[in-house]
Amino acid sequence: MSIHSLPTTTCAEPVPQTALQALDLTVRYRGRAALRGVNLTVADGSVTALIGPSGCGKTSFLNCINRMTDLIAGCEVSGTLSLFGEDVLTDGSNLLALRRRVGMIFQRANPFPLSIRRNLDLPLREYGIRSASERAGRLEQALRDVGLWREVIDRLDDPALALSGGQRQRLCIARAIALEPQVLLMDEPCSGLDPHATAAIEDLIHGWHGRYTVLIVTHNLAQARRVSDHTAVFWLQDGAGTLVEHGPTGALFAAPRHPVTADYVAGRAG
Amino acid sequence: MSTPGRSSPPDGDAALRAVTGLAARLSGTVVVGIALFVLWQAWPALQAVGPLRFVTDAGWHPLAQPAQFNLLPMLVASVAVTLGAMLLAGPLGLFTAIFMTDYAPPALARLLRGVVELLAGVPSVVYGLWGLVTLVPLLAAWQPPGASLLAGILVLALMILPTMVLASHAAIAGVAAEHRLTVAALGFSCAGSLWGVLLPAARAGLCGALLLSTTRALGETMAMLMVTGNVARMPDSLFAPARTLTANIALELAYAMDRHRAALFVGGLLLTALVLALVRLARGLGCAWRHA
Repeated sequence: MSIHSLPTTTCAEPVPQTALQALDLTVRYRGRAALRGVNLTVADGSVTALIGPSGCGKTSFLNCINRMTDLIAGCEVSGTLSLFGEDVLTDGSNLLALRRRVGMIFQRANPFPLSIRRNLDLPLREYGIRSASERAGRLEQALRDVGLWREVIDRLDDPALALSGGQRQRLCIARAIALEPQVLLMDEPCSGLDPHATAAIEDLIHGWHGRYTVLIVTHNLAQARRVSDHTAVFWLQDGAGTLVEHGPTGALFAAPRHPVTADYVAGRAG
Repeated sequence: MSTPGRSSPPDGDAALRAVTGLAARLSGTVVVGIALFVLWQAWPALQAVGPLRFVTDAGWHPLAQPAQFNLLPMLVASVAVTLGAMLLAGPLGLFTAIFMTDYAPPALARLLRGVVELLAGVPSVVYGLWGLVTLVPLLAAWQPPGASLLAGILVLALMILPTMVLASHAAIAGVAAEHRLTVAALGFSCAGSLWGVLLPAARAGLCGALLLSTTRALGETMAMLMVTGNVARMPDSLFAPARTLTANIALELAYAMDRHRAALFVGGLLLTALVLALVRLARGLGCAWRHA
């Protein structure tokens, strides 16, 4: 794996490795651009919030990273996208391996209609971990990591669908991190949850700094400020979504450079 | 003219409630009524002959002196053709459905679906006719007499295949799209997602498909009457002729009287009980699989 450093650095600290780099990334659905010309570099171990109104390509961008775009009929991705220096978009790349390195959390918590145990055991098995004790160990660790272990320890064989909304979402997160991914893509993971469950998930994200590279789509600006190091603002321009501004979250909210960002973060637009 | 007042929506609600309630009561009453009717008609035989003799008599000779009423050979034949047909059509139908949902290019899937629907629309007497003029002679050339349990199994398998394919296809295609997205995002292989998630998620529908096919097979009459040979004797091999409970009723009801007629209804009662037992079994299985 080759290592790319950020093109410019101004601080003396060790240069963080680049996790993700998009160059002129464009997504078209049946020939019509939904996302155009995105250039974005994401540092390893950082949390990046993708904000902006609905329909401006945030989810399309996420879907490129683990090639979920392949599942959408008529979807075409151009430009380049590399993950730790490896090209993601070439046809030859190993899709299953890519998706195991890049975990995805959906807006709607979607445990399989199986037991809690089976929800985590199945992907581990699929991942090729033959030893039952190793799977059990990883299952416990993942459930501990998301703070669910104590809540479910005596009902691991109960149906996952009996859990509450917040528990379900944490179970889905546990299922993703049990595979030890490098990157986690979160598509509005808290939009269906109450404030208490949302806070639990934000706490998790805080704890992941340096461990996972997180990209989180959110419509909740306060949440973006709370959880992210960097913020990327997407906006609709000339009929297609594009990245209008990207920078450290504090600076971006305090002194937005782009006028639409200024209006959006001030609540005047979007 | 209706005004958007308070009264119009509740009126609609009341009417809908009345209509659906009536329909549900009617359906329930008819089913229970038929079961009671069968029991009522069978009662004289159960009283006069006793339930035990329907499985212990030397044979089925309802008009002999003394009459014999052993229904066991017919029950065995019914169960055997159904079981055999399910063993063939079950996996074949399931795998066809999986291919149609997850592997076939859309055009091929549509074509397959069309063919299977056509197969479902063929009347059972046509299957029987085909079995009689094509299959039975072929079997006769190999293992005479041809008209046999095996002929029944093969024809029945073909007949329930469309039910099995279409019902399993509906069950698998009905698995929520989000589960398909999730397994893809988790990097599952096709086989892993199918066995691990999609089929378990579709298990209620698949149970239904199995049940529907099995009960259809159990109740099939005309084609069985045409290809199984109709000998009311315990079949001792797949190539032996046999008579199913359904064929027994169809063959003899026209001229049966008194105790003979009631004995035929005992056969009907047995079939009904068998279907009820199957439904219970399927429900039990469905529950056992729920959290597997």
